[in-house]
Amino acid sequence: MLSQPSPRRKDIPATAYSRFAALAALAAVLLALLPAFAGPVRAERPNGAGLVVEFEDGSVLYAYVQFSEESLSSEELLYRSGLDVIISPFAALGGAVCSINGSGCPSDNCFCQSYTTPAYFWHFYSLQDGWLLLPFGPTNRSVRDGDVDGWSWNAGAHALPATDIDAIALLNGIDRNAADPTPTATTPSPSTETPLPTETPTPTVTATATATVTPSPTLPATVTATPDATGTSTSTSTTASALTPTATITATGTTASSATSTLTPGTAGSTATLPPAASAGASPDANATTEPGSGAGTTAQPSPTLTLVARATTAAVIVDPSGTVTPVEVRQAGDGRDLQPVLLFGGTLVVVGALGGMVWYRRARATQHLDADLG
Amino acid sequence: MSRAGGGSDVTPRRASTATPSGSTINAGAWLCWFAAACALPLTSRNPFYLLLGLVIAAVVYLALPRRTRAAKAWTAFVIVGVSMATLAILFNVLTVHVGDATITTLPDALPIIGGKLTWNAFGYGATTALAIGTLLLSAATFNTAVRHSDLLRLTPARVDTLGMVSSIALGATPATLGALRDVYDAQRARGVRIRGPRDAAALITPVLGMSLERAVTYAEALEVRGYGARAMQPPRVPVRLVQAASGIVLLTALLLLGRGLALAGMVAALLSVLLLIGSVPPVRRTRYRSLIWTRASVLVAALALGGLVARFVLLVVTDTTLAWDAFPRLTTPPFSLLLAATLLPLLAPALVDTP
Repeated sequence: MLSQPSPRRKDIPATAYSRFAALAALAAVLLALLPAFAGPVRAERPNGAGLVVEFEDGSVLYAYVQFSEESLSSEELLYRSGLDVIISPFAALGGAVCSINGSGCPSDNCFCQSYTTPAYFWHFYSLQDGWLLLPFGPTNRSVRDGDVDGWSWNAGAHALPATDIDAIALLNGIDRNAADPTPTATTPSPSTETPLPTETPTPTVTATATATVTPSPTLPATVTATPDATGTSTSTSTTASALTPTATITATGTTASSATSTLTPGTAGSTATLPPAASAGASPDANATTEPGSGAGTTAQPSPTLTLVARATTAAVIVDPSGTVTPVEVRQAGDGRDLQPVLLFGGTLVVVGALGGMVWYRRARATQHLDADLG
Repeated sequence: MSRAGGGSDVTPRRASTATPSGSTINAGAWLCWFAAACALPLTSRNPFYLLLGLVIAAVVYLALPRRTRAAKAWTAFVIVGVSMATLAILFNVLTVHVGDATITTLPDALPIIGGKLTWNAFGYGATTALAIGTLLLSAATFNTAVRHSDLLRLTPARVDTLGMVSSIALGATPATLGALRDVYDAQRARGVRIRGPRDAAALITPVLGMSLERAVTYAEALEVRGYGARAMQPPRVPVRLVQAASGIVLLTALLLLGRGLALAGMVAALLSVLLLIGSVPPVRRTRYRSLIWTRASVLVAALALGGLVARFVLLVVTDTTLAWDAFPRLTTPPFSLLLAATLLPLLAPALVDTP
């Protein structure tokens, strides 16, 4: 048997190896130096779009939805906002919004209040320089990072407040311009004497935390923040100056390791900043108490650690006509999909199936005997 | 293997009580069962309960001996129904682009089907298909188990005409399917092979001829029995007035329903029907054999109606619900063991009706 001649190996000169090594070293050095020239590295923030909904009673809902895609439809934005939305398809025209959070019409009569004058239905707007009425439905609009959709239940004239995406994000505890895209926690100005201006909404507490604001008569406020795993929060005030309200707590973002909670109690402008040290999934018992100094602009650093439970990518607050900000419980992706009914149903089906199998077997045997008897 | 056919009963003992399918349950009990079985798909879109209802109907259907030709024809009917239900799912998924659970997205350039395909649409289509399937299977079971003549005897004397027409209409589809099978067998015996649409004429033409022939036979039989003779007599004035009143009440019912007053509308519609029935003089009929309520019949009727009543009570008293909607969010349908337990009595015909 003849052996096949092996292919000749091409000789590589030693100088070539040294050249490759030098080039690789140069590339490594350049790569190492690149960040220094590129400036500070900024962590990538997820895309986010805003949703402003004006209800019949004048209250306005601000929702901020984060998403990873480049864009999504306004219809998808509504669904992802976690609000109770009823959208009815109108063939090629796309979907029409019938109801938001129970306000509006049923799906089988989507424009039920538009048959008489004044005709009410959900009007669709987009935030450009101002609010621009859109002549189409939410299916036909694409929303990108920074866009804001507006929905108003009106008969022609809306009262949607002037706002922008950053304000909406801040209202929901997200600072879009922060270097570190972690959720921040802030409380709204808890005053009923001077209602919150809707144009420049005061930030609210974010991150699953409960904030209790207890200002003294001279306005050094005692701020207590109690993180809560359920994502609800309450804020109370013991002063007669009605620092009631308060705080909105919404878990935002998918990060929670170093959130900053800022409480802004009262018209005097005292600010209590709750430091962070937030960690996802932490105990709901952590408290943060701060005693801000008297006077405006006071910032207090409470010692206890504020624990945040961050799970949501959607957050929403509602501002009523008196300016009170309250959190809206929105459903997150996966909510309402429980396993228990499935297991119960599976068990029942197995029982019925077993009964059926038994009956079938009995029937088959009886028929066999009958046929045998008949010959 | 020998088979009893042609609708004859298997044993002389059973001849007095059993239906041609061999069932010892009488037509009245089967009617109660059918009403209870149909109530579920007509009132619920919860896939869990619908699937349970479908399985129960299937168990009862399979437990029945299908010996008559008409009964066998229902099998084909069920297959057609299931195929249509499957198409309904596909149609929903491809044309309804709404929902929060996306399967995939087709390019918008595609007409009608372009856009996101959602599990919500699939869920809606599937529940609709389940409801249709349960109704069809229940109807197939009922028609397999009950002789139409028995049903006709059950109709009240005042709605005898309506019962007759309904009976003929109900029997038309199985009869046509049976004829189709006969023609197919006959053509194959002659060497005609049905390969495609071009050969369909060899099937359709004889079936059409047979259907016309059957219609003429029906008409002659009805005429011989004096059907419609009463209509030749001019109705009395009060009868006309009551019928006119019935029409007005029906119109009112429609208006009430249109304005969303469901309960008032339904009451008015019921009143209209009662007025119409009351305006018709009863037909005098004789019976050769009265309905026999065997223990099995009583048990089936009592369990079916009992389950229906229990379900209603549970829905009113507790916070359980039969409702579920796939839109706008896809959630797990609720499932209550108590409500499911009210469906289990529908299995009774399969358990008590031994061959």
